[in-house]
Amino acid sequence: MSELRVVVADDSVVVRRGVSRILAEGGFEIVAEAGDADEMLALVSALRPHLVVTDIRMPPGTSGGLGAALEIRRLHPAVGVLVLSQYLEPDYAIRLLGRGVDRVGYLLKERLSDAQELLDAARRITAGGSAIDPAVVDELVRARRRDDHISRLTDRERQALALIAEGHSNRAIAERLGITIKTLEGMSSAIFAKLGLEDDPDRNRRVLAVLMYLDDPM
Amino acid sequence: MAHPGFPGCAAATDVPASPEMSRRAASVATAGVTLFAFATLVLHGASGAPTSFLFAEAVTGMTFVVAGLVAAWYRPTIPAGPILLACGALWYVGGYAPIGRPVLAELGFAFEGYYDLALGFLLLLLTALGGGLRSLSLIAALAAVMAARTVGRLLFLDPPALGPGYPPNPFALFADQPTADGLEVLSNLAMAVLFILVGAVGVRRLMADGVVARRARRPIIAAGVLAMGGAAFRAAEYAWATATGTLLVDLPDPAHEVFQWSLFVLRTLVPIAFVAGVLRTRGEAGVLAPLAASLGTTAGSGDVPTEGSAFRGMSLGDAARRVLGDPSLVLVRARQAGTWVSEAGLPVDPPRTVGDRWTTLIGTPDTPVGAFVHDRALLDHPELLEGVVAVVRLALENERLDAALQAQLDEVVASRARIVAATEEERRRLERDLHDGAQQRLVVAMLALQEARSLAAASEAPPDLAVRLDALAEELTAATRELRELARGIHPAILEHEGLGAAITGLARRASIPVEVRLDIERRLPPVVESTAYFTVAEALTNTQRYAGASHAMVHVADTGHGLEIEVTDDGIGGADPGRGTGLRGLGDRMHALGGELQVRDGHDHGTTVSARIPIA
Repeated sequence: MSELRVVVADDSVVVRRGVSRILAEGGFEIVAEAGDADEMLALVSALRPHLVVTDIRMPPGTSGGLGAALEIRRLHPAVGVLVLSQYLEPDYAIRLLGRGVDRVGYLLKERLSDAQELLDAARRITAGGSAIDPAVVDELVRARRRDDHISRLTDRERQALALIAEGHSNRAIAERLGITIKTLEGMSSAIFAKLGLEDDPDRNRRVLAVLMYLDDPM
Repeated sequence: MAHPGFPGCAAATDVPASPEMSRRAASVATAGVTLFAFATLVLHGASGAPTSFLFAEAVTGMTFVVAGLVAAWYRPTIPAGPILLACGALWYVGGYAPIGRPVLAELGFAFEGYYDLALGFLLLLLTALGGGLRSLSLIAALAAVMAARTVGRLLFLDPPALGPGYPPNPFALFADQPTADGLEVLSNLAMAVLFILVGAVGVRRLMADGVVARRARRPIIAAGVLAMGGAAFRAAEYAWATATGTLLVDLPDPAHEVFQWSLFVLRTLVPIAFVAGVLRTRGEAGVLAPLAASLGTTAGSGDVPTEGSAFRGMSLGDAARRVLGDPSLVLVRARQAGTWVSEAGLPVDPPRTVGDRWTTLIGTPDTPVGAFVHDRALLDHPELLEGVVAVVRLALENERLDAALQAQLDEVVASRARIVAATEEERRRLERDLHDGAQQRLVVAMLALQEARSLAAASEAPPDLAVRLDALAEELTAATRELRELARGIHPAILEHEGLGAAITGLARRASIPVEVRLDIERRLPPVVESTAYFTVAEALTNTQRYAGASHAMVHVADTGHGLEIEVTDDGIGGADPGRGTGLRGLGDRMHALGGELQVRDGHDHGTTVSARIPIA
């Protein structure tokens, strides 16, 4: 398999270079860098990379990055989109998802202090999955604590729910929780049953179901 | 006590500047004329004049003198006082004719009848019909003709026609009987015609009268017309007697006696009517009370209506026209800039006195607040005019204060709105600066740190270093997080990017208690409205979480088309006092600045409701 090609966009050259360096060291091929939303859109159309990593806040305006990311999601569904954001606002993430969690990610910029988090998210997205920042998921989960269903979950189950929502694979979740995949599968069946959700074998649809459930106001 | 010299009413006038001075002069003149009268009467008495003659002589002259004093005292704005006093003096001059003493008798005879000239002058002054010029030419002609008669009697007539047995006339330098007779006849005929013309002017005035206020002048003018008739008759009689040697009206006694007494009464009618007019208008200021009481109700000041006021709802101009009885009166207002506007608010030329249209300034001459342009006849009612001017002056000054206050208020309202908008802009700028500046630098620092970490991992660095770098990364992450919360507290980016709904949903998500959100907003609203609404909901939710001990809250925000209605309710124990703390009070101020309002209903055990309304311009 050839290298995964990436376009990195940020109006700050230093940030752009830093992100590119981490991704390059992680085995991705940086095919182009962009300094604003329009340039990014043009490059993506021309190069059809596997992944675009973009700053949410980019010219034009202060939300050009998000607009361009949505545009790429609409025009080029095969291109993965990872938005780096300084806003802990689930609404941005939910909007970015649209109707699917395929090849999409919303990561807070503070994750850049750990190269592995960025690389992990980039790999999940290029593999066709999703990467939602734990802090964003946490805000959604905490917002639902009024919900009787959620309060019925055990702490461990809630941890597992958050990891599912973040877009991690079953194996990754099992590793983090220190349990076997079998145990995790049993646990997630229990979680879905308690929330009244249908357990979907498709990972992306499962993630979406959880996120939509969490975002549903009441 | 009347003060005809009140400020503001004395402008645009051609009469003596200081009423106090003219009063003093009138008093001195009165004393002088009275002494003169007394001396004349003593001389008459010494000459053996009958008592009835002395009585008539004293009463006629002194009537003029008293009327002159009253006029000078209460009507210093018109020269009626001096003229009437002059009439009195001239009356006694004429009285020397039959005194029977040489020189004095000739002088008296030569200058007899001049008081009729003065009376005619006064009558024309009071009617003032068709401007001053024509009236003055009548008086000038009359004076010239009378002077001709005086010349004839003094220089050509010898012996004087004062009765039989008179000594020669010492002034008769050109003694010539035919010339003297000719002058006497012609001048008297001309005088008769001129007196009739002057009387006709008065009659025209009486007929043309439309101004209610001039009614007070009517008796005086009528008396003046009668007096002119009498004067014309006497002139005609002189001409007739000189030409034919017989009397024009030769009546047997006692009819003759009655006729003479009628002429006497005629002469005194004018001063008597004048004094009566003055006394009558003295009480007119009484109608001012309802006008003053109604000031609050006249259009333009819009205050509480006064019960039973006759002027309720009237404009200031209408009220003045009604009280002063001059339908032709016009009220003009002076603007601070020195320009003038009509009652309809249209710009007009500065008011001037033209002919009969008299201008009375309201306020000080230097800084008038307005003026009445009115019929000159209103000057007959100085107390009334003065009172109305004073009342209207108050009203106009009030109007000005109201307008100034309103302008100030408008400016304060506008500047408050500008301040709120500027604050909003400032907050947004601050938020952007934090994101693009400090936060960006933190990200750069984190990337550098990350690089350092991978270098450390790849090299033979001491294990301590990796631990310290990890700790540093945690610090940087914490700093980023705090900065993010700070920026969101100043002005959430999501409010600008995604609108009020998303921002409020975020607030509800982060709340420590369940918050139900209902949003009826379909459009983006002006930034200042959105942010004010956002911070109101945020503050209300903060209060709910901090003090109310509530288990549940509800936020409802609805766009009604012309305004945003916000309601935040909880099921707590209350305690959200807008007067306590600066949070809600500051938001209330912000609401007011935008023309909206904020209410806090503390239901104690039934929860708290914060409701607000922000108009959308």
